[in-house]
Amino acid sequence: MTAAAHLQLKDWLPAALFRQDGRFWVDWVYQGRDRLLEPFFDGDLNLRMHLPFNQLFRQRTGIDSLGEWHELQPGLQPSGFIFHMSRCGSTLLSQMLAALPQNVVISEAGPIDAVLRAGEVDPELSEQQQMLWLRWMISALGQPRQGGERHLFVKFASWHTLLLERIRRAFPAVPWIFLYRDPVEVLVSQLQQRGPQLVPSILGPERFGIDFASAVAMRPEEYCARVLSAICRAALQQCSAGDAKLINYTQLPQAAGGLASTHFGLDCSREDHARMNRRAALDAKTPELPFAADSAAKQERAQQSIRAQAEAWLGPIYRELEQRRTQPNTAW
Amino acid sequence: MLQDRLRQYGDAENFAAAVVMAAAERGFRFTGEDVEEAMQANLRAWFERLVVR
Repeated sequence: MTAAAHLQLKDWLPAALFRQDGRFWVDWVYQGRDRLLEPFFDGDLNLRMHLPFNQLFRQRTGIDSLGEWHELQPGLQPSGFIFHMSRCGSTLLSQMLAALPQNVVISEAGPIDAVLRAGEVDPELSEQQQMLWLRWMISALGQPRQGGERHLFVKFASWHTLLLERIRRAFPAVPWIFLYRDPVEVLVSQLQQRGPQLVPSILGPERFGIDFASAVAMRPEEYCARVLSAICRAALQQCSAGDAKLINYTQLPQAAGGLASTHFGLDCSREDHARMNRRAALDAKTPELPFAADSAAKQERAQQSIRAQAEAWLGPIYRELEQRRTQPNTAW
Repeated sequence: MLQDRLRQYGDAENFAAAVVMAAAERGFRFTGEDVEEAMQANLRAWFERLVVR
């Protein structure tokens, strides 16, 4: 890549990865010096698309340009990864970290999801190549925009927990956490408004060990419980290493500050803690609204069918998570 | 730089006018309507891609 080409990716953000004509391509949008502050990456992208310039002009490069860009302008080294079972405070935690100007936080970015699914689009893609692309993509997303950023956090989509082992191989030194919550409360939330990864026609159920015909035939509460069970089981299998912490939703937001300092290695000032606490007072996904505790309401809304599926598929796993959480190497 | 100049505009109408002017300076001829049409098509394609994903 020439010096001139290098300048044309500065201040640009990878927005999408896709395969066309047998090659993988990256679409970029102009980000400028704005930080990524929305609860989800797609929210930041949609804000960028309000700029008329981005509506008319975007860049498209081959996937190899990500590697060249990584060589020329490497992003921040990841300070921590957040994995989770969904609807369990992961957005709250990522938003608290994003409240600190020294942090870059990437929250469930579509381009990362696309890299992790690239092997489904091109079965000849090796894991080694895919993880190289993951490092390049995280490097491109994790660029400091304002100059003072020192730490990078990536919150993965819940189903990416199934790929924890290979993500850890790609980033062996990065500490990670797994967030979880009372399965009844997660199920109530998902059944009220299903995340796309719990819809079998959107994210194939085979990755969770369920064939498609069975997935569409079973009751929604059973399908959701089985998917969440697969995610939690994947985390349990990986969490015996010293680089992992298990966090129950009930520990938030109080645990966030200490977690940031001790597990992720941030040097948080009193003002940093105050910023995080101010953010925690707002709704994680709709920051225009104040935070409202909803565990009691979710427990009240849980019908017997939900409780039965939660216990059948998640009860033992949840209890094991709780037991492991209190062990010295995974406790917080 | 041309990109920097065009990124200043936050509204579609003035942006389209600036694109038309910049294009004319470089010997290209099209209208503000052409620009806004292209922007709409791009936006549609952008959001359709998000839905498909």
